[in-house]
Amino acid sequence: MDPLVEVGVFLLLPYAALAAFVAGVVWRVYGWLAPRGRTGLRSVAVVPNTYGSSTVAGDVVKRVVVFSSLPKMEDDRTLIVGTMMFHYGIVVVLLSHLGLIVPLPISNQTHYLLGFYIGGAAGLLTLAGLLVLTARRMGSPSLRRISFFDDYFAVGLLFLIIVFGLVQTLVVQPNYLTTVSPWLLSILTFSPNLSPIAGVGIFTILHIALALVFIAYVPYGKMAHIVAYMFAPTLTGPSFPVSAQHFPSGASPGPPRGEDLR
Amino acid sequence: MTEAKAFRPGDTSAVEPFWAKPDLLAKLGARVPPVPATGDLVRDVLAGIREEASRNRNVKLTLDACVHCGACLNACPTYLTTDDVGNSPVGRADLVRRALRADGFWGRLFGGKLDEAGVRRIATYYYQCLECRRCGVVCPFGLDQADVTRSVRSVLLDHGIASRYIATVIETSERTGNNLGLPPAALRNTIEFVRDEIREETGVEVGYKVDAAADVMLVPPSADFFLNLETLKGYMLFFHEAGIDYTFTTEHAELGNFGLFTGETHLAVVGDHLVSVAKKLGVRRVLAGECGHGWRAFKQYVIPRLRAEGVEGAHVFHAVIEAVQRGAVHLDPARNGDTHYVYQDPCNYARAGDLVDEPRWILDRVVRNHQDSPHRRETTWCCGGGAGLLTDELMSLRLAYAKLCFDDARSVGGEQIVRPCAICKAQLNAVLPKLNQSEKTKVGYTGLMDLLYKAIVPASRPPGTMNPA
Repeated sequence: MDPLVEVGVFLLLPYAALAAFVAGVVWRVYGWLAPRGRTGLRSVAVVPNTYGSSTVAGDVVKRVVVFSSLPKMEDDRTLIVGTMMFHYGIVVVLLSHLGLIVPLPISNQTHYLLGFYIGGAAGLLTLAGLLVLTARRMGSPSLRRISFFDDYFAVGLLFLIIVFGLVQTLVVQPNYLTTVSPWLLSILTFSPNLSPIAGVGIFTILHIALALVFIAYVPYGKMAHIVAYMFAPTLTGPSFPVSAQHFPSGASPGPPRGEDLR
Repeated sequence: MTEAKAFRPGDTSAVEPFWAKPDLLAKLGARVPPVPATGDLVRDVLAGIREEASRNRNVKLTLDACVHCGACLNACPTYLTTDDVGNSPVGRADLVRRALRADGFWGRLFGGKLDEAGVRRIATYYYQCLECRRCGVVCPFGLDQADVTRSVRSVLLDHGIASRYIATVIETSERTGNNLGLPPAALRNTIEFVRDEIREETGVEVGYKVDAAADVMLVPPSADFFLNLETLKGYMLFFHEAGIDYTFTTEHAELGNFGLFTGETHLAVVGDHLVSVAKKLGVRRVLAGECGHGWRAFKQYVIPRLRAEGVEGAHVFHAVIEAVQRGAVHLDPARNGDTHYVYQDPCNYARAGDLVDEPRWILDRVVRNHQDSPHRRETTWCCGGGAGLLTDELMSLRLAYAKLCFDDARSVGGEQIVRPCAICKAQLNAVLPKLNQSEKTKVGYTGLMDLLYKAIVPASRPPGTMNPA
């Protein structure tokens, strides 16, 4: 491998991407936390009667895990099918990548087999979901009008990363546990060692390089949605309690309850 | 009646409200703190939106985190009925997002800088939004374009662009204490007239107070003193039967608060006035009448401020539930006959005011034959007149928008739509005759207190237990 590529992709790019990612997340989260106003209203919760943190959290989890807020199937089939395929797929894909650095109580042979079947299946599901969503976006005049460079950039980058990843997992089948794993661990422990990765093939290089570019890009574009919902006052702010018990009968109603004066 | 501009499917860009003239805006501007302005409209509007984004988390998030998935398109009544992406949540957000993006590095590279015509375009589309918040419910990230609409309209108002209708209503409300400008004498006359009607219809001599010390201050929307007299009858007979000592106020005879439609500053002027009137009369509790956006403004702005003064606030439905539960008010649903009623949640009750179970509890006890509209609770359709669109020049849009809730009611064979909201009622009053004519139907509408009025079985309470003021 060209030493320039080796140092550039496997030493400089990882740390540059990591720095860009951390700086971007800090900048973004600060930007979301700094505005304190809520259009002057006590609560802007959008689902009625969400009292208490467990109800609020339950609603958010339902939105994230089963996409409960999306329209009904008959109203927007491609959105729902594409969203579920892509997101469930990519979650499994990302978790599978943890196997690169987390020691598992299984033999390397089993590890490769699991990677081939589970990783490969999840990768294909992700790719199919991405294609469904992209076809939906490009096929509808309305959606084309609301799509921008950012939308296609994210999709294009993900497409290439997933395709190169699948080619490796399903076709090339490199010995990543002895090449990528030790290198990645060395990078993450800030004691970089490039020797294990020196001999990897072109698909591994492309997959890793584009993935690093993607990591750097995450906080700056639409990928910010991965965390943004946690800051939405419409979802995370509970309803403001006013109820029949605030209208007690009798000539001398009790004073308002303390917790309601918050 | 003013002739409304028609629109072609897919293009509503020409349907705009009449714009407020400078003298009207000057009166409004005199009542709120001035905002910094350079006089360059485009620069001022962009600076104003940036300022809103730095202050309001929902605006900031909507500009940052939208993934253009288009889930809101299928939820938005204005897009579904007009097919114009500009008239959709994501489309409206992108008008602003594009303008901000073009006002910097990307603008120098690709052009697209905002100009005065672009500001006008933003204003036109933002004044086609119903602020119904259906987008906020379906958006996976809870991005609430309706509240962005409020913020952007607020910035536009700061720099001289506002719907004439909304500006007029706010000006009238701030000057007279109610949206219609009804003088105290007219209010007293109406209340007296309604008292006489109640006596004729039920034999009950109901008592009431006006501008007097009492336990409860009732604040209905001013439309209840004008268009919805049956609703007013409902309040008056109910309070009499429940034995509640209450007063009307002529100083703030308005639950509605059109400041909600255009941003914070006038919402606060109107809301603070209500609090000051409650303090002046020394009431212990303030009750809101039937009005959706008024309830949102009351619940989310006024009640926290009332509570800080030791005054409690609630909806009249809460008082009804309390009185029925303690057995003070007797109801007979048979009195409303076998008409098929369909309950449709007003947007601001269901998606902004947590008032979804209470009206149903009451409806169960005042009519025999009722059901929910298929789109219920937080999926309810807007009546098509929300957010200050209740004006003749926007009739083509209002008619198109109203089709959704009309069809929803018809799909279950509803004869009467129950929508306990003054704006819904005013909108249905205007559009139902037209829709009924074109669809050859006879769908009617009613409020909930109207139905309560008819269902009440008066107890033999001695007349005049409360002295008329």
